[in-house]
Amino acid sequence: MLETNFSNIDWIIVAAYLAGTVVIGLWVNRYIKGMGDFLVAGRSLRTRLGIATMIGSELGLVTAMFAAQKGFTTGFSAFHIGLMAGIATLIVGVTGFIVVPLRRMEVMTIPEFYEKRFRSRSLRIVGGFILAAAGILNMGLFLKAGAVFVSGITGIDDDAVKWVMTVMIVLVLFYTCLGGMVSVIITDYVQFVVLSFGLLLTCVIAVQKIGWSTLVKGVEKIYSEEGFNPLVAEGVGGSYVSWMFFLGVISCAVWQTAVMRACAAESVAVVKKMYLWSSLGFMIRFLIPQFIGICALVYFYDMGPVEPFFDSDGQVSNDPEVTMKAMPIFLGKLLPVGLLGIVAAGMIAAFMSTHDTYLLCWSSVLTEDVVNPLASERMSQRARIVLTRAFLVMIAIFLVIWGLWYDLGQDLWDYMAVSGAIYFTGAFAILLLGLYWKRASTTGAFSALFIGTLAVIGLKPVQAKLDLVDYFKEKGIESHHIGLTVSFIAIIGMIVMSVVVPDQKERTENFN
Amino acid sequence: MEGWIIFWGALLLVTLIIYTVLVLYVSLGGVADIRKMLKSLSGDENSEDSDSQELDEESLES
Repeated sequence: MLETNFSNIDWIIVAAYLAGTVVIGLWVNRYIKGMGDFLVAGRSLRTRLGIATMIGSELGLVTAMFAAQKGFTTGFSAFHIGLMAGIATLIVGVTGFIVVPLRRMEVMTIPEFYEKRFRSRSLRIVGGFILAAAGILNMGLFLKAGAVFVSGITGIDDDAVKWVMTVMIVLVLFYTCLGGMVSVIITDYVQFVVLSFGLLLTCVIAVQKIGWSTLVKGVEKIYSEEGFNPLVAEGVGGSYVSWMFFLGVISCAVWQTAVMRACAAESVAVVKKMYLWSSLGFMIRFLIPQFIGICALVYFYDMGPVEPFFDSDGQVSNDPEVTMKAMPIFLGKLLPVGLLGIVAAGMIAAFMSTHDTYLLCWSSVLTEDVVNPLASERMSQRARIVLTRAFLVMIAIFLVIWGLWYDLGQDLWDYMAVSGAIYFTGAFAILLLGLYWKRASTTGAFSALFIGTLAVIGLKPVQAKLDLVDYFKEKGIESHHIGLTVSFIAIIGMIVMSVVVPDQKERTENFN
Repeated sequence: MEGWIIFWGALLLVTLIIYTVLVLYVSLGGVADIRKMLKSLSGDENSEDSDSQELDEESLES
């Protein structure tokens, strides 16, 4: 019943695409002369390419998977996530909030900002370590999501999927190690073009096949009003919507991968233009996959309802591992041969694009913000590039191991939001107060970083280890409540500690 | 609920149309930007810090 249309022609399209990315990695290696070229492409990024790479790196396979899963489990209510992300990015683009001052300071990473602003190398090292640890944890399930997608859309068995995923991660390592940010930008561009056209076509075909009114009626039958109104939907509500808006600001202005794009821009004017246009991309990266998830929901419901997505009573499965599979299996049944290959290639490209961006990002943070500042003598450019490449390989090995044994226990999107919060709750406080409040001090910044790590309590396996599951259930405390509370406490903590333990006058004057 | 259905439908439609235009604009213009980026990198005299020279020298030596 759940067989896929994936054929040999589709495999050829996917293989041709993967071969192309290797060629790009080899080709651009000649342009890499120093760390500035390797990490921020010599700050030569222009608007159109900036938009493509910004959306390309954010519209990844993992985003598509968790967004589709949200569409499947909450219906049209899930659209509020994209709407909040779009509004938040638009506000950042119009005001230049955080990103413009960062670009003016010409930093390459956020921990570098910590050192420049607070004149504290220890703050940079601690901040860099927390950022990299949270970031690596955040991408820990990317491989798992990718494997679910590949097995769902192609129909190959689990053993074969492991080999396919291993080949892909090796390819990503290959071209990222060689070409750094230049190859990342070019592959992001190609991926943006292929995936955008593929997804737009998928939406058109899905609506043609199922019909808009059938979709609306189907969601109404399955979820009633909760399927449309995010303020009354189970597990959503007002606080969740606020959390989504906050995440929207974070993902475009505080999250290191987006900040790297802003720092790679040619000028401040380009940064603003990139954010203005990318606001649409930040919205669409949720909206389209969520819509496909909704189409999968109604499609499988009308077929039976089909197991394992629905139980015998017609209720949607509450197993996140199952609901994650709905979108790829639906695509495998919906799309014709050829187009299926293009969409799969686009999605796999998106998977690789996200990996290259994140791998480069976290490995460069470990090199530039942790090891290099710790070294007694300043490391040479060559040594830093070699070390960054070594970190790329080590993180990739971690991803393979973590992706195999971690028990998800919650929607993928919520896992990613919480794991990211370990870093960004503290970082947001430091950026906000460090950039816009003269009296922000180093001690205050340290306290914000440490308070931010409390967000780890939002992860279900951590709650289980601390015997907090029943308590949180009884009190109605969800992961997003923890994230919002920790963010608030981090800001208050930084203000209090900055007032109690101010910096020496000289340090503040230097920044001003 | 009717209001939400209309709102989400309109949001999806408008976004898809604008996104299609954006994809066309970026797809065509991005090629020119790639050329300019590579040109700027190949003639990168702004390789400001001395470490870049150091890297070149090390590359030549090896």
